[in-house]
Amino acid sequence: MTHPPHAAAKPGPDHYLALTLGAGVLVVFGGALVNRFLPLGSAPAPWLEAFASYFLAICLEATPFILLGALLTAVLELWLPPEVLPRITARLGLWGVPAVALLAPLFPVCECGVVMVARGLLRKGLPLPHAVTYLLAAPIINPTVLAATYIAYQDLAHPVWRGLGGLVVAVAVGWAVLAIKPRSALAAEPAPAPNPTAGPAVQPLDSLALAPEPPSPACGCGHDHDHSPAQGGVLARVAGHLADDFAEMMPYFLAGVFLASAIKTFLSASLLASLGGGVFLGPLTMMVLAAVLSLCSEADAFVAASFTEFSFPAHVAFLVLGPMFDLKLLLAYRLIFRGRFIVLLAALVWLGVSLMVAGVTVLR
Amino acid sequence: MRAFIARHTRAWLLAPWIILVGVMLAGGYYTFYVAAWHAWLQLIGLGLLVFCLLATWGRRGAPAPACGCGHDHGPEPGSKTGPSWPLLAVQWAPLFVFLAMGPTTLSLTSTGLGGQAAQSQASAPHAPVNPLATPLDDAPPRFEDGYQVLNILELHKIYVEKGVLPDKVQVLGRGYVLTPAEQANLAEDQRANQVGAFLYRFVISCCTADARPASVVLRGSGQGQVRTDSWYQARGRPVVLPGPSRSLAIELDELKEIPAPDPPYIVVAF
Repeated sequence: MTHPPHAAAKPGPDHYLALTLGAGVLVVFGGALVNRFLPLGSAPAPWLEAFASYFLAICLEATPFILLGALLTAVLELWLPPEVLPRITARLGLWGVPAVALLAPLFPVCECGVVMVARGLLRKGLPLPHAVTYLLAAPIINPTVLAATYIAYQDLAHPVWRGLGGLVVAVAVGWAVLAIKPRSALAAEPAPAPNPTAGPAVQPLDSLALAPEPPSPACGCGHDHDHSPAQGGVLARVAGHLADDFAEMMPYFLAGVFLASAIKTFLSASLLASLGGGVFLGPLTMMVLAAVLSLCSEADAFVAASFTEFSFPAHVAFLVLGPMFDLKLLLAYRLIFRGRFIVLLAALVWLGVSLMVAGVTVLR
Repeated sequence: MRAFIARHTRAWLLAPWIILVGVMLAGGYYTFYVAAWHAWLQLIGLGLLVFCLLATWGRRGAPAPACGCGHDHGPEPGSKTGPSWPLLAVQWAPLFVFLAMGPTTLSLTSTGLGGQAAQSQASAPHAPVNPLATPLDDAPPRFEDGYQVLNILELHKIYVEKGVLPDKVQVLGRGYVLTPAEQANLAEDQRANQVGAFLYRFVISCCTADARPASVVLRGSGQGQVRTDSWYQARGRPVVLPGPSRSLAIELDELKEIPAPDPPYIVVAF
């Protein structure tokens, strides 16, 4: 027995993103591949080595973290009852946002894995403002990241201000999203109705949560799918979620890494750093550097510590902004959010970090 | 219940990553890209990918009771739904890049940072890595033929921490010869000191994306042998050159060309 052919679906933005990325990889590295396997082939240009080194390094570095994030998401998907998060956030009200930030270390993932986990939490009914707060806070309020910051700077001030700054900015942005109530923020369709078990107070927040996965209709469903959850054991279901989330994430992630690698290859960090210090320009320069360098939050402090010509607030700006918003994340966020919301989020994060740095400058 | 990608499609999505990470681990190429401590994370990643693939294959031919139709729901021939072909193809992009380029390492030539490294980064007080913030080995000093074996970063650290330098050291690094244009851009004291060639190694904490060069200037007759991008073992007396740049240098006793070390980078673990 065979199913009738599925109807043709209109390609989504991820299709065109993947097409662009594929073309970019072919244009940049296609010649090198031909040269490598031709007996008379010439050596690749030196900049190609740097480009390939950055691209492969970030891919290799991040892949285990993305997989671990996807594994955590799969566990949440299978074992977290859907009514729990909406009910808790409804009870906490406004305080739910800082509570999420403070509980972020319970799911300690760096910024590559956090996108997967945030999507899983949204799917489980965590409201958008709370999920945004988690997304921004988790890569900073993280024991490994703060310990690495201490080692890099050999003082307590940097990790303490990094943690505090990250917490303040994440909560402020979360509250701002709660106040703005952006429409059509999520890449997937919003939940059609609030969860009845969560009570009426949940509605304003819950309406911004991702729709729970709809039940698979019996065949004729218009999807290209297996019904593996029903037919496999627990391991098969975990594997199904893990593999599919990973596969969905990687085109966005790879596009971000390709862009970041290109910019790292052609734009020297030292050149950017030479733009200088100063009360205003210093933090701004370090924020641009953090966005461009796209470093892992567990290693970025070692790089930041080498920019000795910059002030303390400028260093805090680098350490807080980097894990929240860099080039590789910019496209990874596309997995969860629509483009317009990403622009809004970027504006809020940059504004939040700028105000936080102003506060640090005054207090120090 | 969630709609899953069909099993053969999923295998196509997972295969390039399994091959890439597997080859990197089996061939030891991962040290060209990430710190050695990352190996166990790569193993976990590979394990998860293989687990997904095996769990997918393990269900081959199993019925699909959720829909009750008793057959597998792979995409129909000619189906336009499911991940589109570009989405499938881009999963192969990292493997494609690795195949096209082979194992690659960062160099001052490829990053175009040679001139800048010479201007500021050979100088101890402005070292690219904060030497004090580098948790290096506390192992007892090791000597070969009377020369203390150090890496370039350890040499910087000793100078910054103690203000004195060992009598004789042995370091290894990649050579870089400054072009006349780069020499013209050096600080006045560096030009007066005739800084022309140096050894450097990139220092990484996590992966090559966070690499910073640490370098030491070469002095003496041996510096004429240096070729850009070749690897050398240098033996000699470390000195700090006069002038505000305070460039760290080695008065060469011996310079020997060597194969590239593995790993090529100095890894600062935490």
